[in-house]
Amino acid sequence: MIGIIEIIVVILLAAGVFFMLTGAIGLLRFPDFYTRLHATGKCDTLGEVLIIAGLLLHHFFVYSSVPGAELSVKLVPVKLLFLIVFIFLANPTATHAIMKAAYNTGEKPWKVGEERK
Amino acid sequence: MKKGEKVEKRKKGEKSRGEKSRGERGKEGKRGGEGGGGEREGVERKGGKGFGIFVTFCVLFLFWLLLSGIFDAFHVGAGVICSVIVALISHDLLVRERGEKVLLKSFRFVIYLGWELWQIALANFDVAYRVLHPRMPIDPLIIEFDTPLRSDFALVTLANSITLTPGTITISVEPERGRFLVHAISKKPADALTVEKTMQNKVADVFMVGGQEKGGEWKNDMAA
Repeated sequence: MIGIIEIIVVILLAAGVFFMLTGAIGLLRFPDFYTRLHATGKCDTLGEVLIIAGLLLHHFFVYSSVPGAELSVKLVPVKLLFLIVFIFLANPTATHAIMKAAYNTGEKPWKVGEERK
Repeated sequence: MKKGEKVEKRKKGEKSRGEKSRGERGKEGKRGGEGGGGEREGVERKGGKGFGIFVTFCVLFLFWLLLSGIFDAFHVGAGVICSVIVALISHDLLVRERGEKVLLKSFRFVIYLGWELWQIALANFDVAYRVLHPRMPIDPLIIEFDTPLRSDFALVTLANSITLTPGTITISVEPERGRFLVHAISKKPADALTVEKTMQNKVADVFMVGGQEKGGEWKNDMAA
């Protein structure tokens, strides 16, 4: 049982790290401000959520389900769940706050064929 | 041509808004009496205030219990006091409208969240593909479109959904007209918003904007 859970946890963590890495590469490769936000805004959301989901599963099956565990220990997965919810709310909001700031400042979007900025 | 289309769309939006307000005045007149149709007006209604405070208190107290995990008299009592104070001060931030449809709307919203999670996964594979592809298949453009959505929650939902789904990020929203300014990373995700309108339809459906006639109108749009 624990073996299967650990495999799932490792897969989730690996996927999370992969998406975070993709976001970082995108930040370096994409040509301008807006497209870079595409990479970071999306990949970071799912990357973080996958990593937290992995930790959640791990904690739930390794610590919370042990008989006689304290209630505050059992409730840690719930807190991680709240983290996921808040990341889903806050990350896109922050992304378009930054995007709007750039747009209002007059940052020109990159078009195909132009030099990268 | 484009300008003409836009004007026409705006007119359609206004028309449907008018219809909605008329419809709501008939159905939900007993609730408030102000009519007017927008969910924004719910703030001023007196009847919903106690209900709003109660719901906010319940949510806050539940949150407190889950975070503390200690159930002795001191901690629970402190939780009750804090929740009451915060609920009294800020109940109108959380609960703005009260109606028979709230439960149904939340239910539809949960179903929508499932679809949205799948879209988020797709978005990430999309970005990963564009990032890791040797030639970077991107062709950024900025698009504008109108929606019939007016309530804050619906607008936030659509704006965040656009940001989280493949290839598009919301730049700004004009709440008065429901107008969205969106940066798309290439032509295809932009068409998904301006031509197919899957997401707008789904969000409008969740928040029941305009009822059935509106859905029909949009299907006509899609066919044209």
